[in-house]
Amino acid sequence: MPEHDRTEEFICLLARYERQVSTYVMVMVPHVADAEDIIQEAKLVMWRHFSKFKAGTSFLAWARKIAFHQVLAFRKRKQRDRLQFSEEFLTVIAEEAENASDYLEKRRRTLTDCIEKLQGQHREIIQLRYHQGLGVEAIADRVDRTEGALYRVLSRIRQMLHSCVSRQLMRS
Amino acid sequence: MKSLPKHIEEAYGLFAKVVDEQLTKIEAKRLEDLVTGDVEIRKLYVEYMHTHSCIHWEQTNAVAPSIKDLVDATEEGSNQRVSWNSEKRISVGSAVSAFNWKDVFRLLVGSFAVLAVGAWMGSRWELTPELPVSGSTGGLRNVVAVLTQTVGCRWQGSRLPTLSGSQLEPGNLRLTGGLATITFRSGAEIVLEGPAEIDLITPMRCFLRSGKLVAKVPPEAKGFTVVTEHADLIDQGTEFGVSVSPSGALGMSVIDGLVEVRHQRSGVLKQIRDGESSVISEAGVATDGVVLFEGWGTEVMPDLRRDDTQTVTVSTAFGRGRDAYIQSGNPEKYLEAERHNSESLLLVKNSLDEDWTRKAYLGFDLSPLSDYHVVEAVLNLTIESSGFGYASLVPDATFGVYGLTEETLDEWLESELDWDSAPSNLPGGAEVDLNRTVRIGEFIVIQGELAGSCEVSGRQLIDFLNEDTNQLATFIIVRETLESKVGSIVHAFAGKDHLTSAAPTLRMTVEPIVPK
Repeated sequence: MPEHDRTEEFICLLARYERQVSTYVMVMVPHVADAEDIIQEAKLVMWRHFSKFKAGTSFLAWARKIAFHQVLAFRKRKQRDRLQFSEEFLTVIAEEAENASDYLEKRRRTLTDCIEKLQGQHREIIQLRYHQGLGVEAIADRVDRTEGALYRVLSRIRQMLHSCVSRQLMRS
Repeated sequence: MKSLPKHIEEAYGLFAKVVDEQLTKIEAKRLEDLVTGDVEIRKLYVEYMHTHSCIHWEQTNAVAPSIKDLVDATEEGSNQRVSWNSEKRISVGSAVSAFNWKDVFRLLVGSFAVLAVGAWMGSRWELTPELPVSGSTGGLRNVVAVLTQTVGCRWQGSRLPTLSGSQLEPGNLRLTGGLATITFRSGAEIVLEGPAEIDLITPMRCFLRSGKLVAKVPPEAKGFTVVTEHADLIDQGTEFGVSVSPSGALGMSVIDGLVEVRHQRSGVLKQIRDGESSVISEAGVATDGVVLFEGWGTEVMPDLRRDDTQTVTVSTAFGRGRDAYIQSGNPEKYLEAERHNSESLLLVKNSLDEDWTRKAYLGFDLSPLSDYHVVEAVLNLTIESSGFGYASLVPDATFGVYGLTEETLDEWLESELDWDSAPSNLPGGAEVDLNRTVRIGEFIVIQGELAGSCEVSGRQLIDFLNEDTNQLATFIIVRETLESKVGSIVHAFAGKDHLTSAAPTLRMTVEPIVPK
């Protein structure tokens, strides 16, 4: 295969699966900036080793394997800077995420509906936190709540979204 | 909210602390024990973090930095790193060694950067005619397309420039509304219909994540590919329409020419010719059974929201559908020329005179929907001129729409419908029997408005349709605004026998009812 076709093939496969790989990484590393760094590194590794990827096999499985190794490598590097989960814990989580892969994809698709159903201020808080990337203190100021109260609200919203998605999928 | 078992509640508390970075060492240990020791909590943990992750990617419109960004970074110099700011645009800042970019660059510069940019900007690039370009595009090196036209476009947090005329590099575009025409450097042109999300990859490829597009591909761009989650649509010199729902379900119609569909999971290659449509899912490529009703063609295909969700339009002309109006008093006492009747219009009026009040009845045949659940619905009427009465004698007029809940009365006949026997009719000019009807909503016709359309939608309409058990739905339309003087305008709406205007129509988004 000519090299530029190979490049296009890689870019298309990456485009197709990058969200699944990205969420897979974030399930293990929920810290946003860390997860983003890991995903970047993983993509580079994927590209460098793309010649070893066999056409016709699962790109997602291959990409996840690489991403998992990047998570472990990152953990090792960062162990002193920040609290890190044990390797055993990450392995258990990764396995669960892989096994539930199809179900998690369905959850992802249902989530948009559930976000739409949130009441006005809850949706605003989610937007401020995730879309604008504001810290809890800044959001608390904005919506006139204490920091402690906002942590509780955020937790409650995530829990509500989690239950909403589960309920919707159970119904269908 | 129902209270949760104690250990689950504890787990949720710890999950939140993980996300908000509030977890202490002791709590981390406790969480690890809970998650590794309890299958249910483990499952919950993965789902919870997955939800957090999805909100992040969805809300930030964040496709993690693409290969192109990495290539760009290599060209900015070696002591730099790619980082993200809150706008999720890639920025290049001074080194904060998350990892050693110098090594990465060394590996990349020799291989990928040259290869990728070379491939993307290769011979095909040089051969394409110059495209109209304007806007601020300084410094772009890897343009794959130009945004050639925008109509009412609204964009969401795109990382690409979204002004008409902008040159577009590889990246993600989210159109929340409107039509955007994108002309690729290969010559292929797509018209994207919001809401839609697309990744521009190369002059010959794009990845449609959700929404609709129509692609027109000239011979020189033969091979132009619309990548979707479940299949690659490889053009062979043609025009085709594609619709992807957020769930990934895919509908495609070839308007002219030939498209090859390469199914992702099975690798199966299928050819779709002009006039043919196809539904593509993870399971495979289907070319028949695409349309819900005979004669509707692929019109039911767009607007897919979830698996198997479809838009269905039923008018009063369909099946057992009917429409008619009733008139108070005794019109027979007037001369033929003064009766002010109509065969093709549905007349509605709230009159001070006992003889001239009119109410319209609409009957819809819902039998094709018996296995579906309505998730969205709009009742649409076309405003016509009746020619009777004076518009100046009635202000902006509010019309009430009622649904007949007493289903035994649904079988009324057009030819026999009259003031005294019409289901749930009461003497008042805007009055109906509220024990046998439910108020669906209202609409307003502006004073003097003699054309256009009006509609009613909302929860009440959806619930009314879903509560139907006999596959027939009757609506009653009354004018709530009373005339200020006798002789006011008779409002009219096109009926099913109208020669040129659309009959009363129910447009519904439906999804299959899954048997329990």
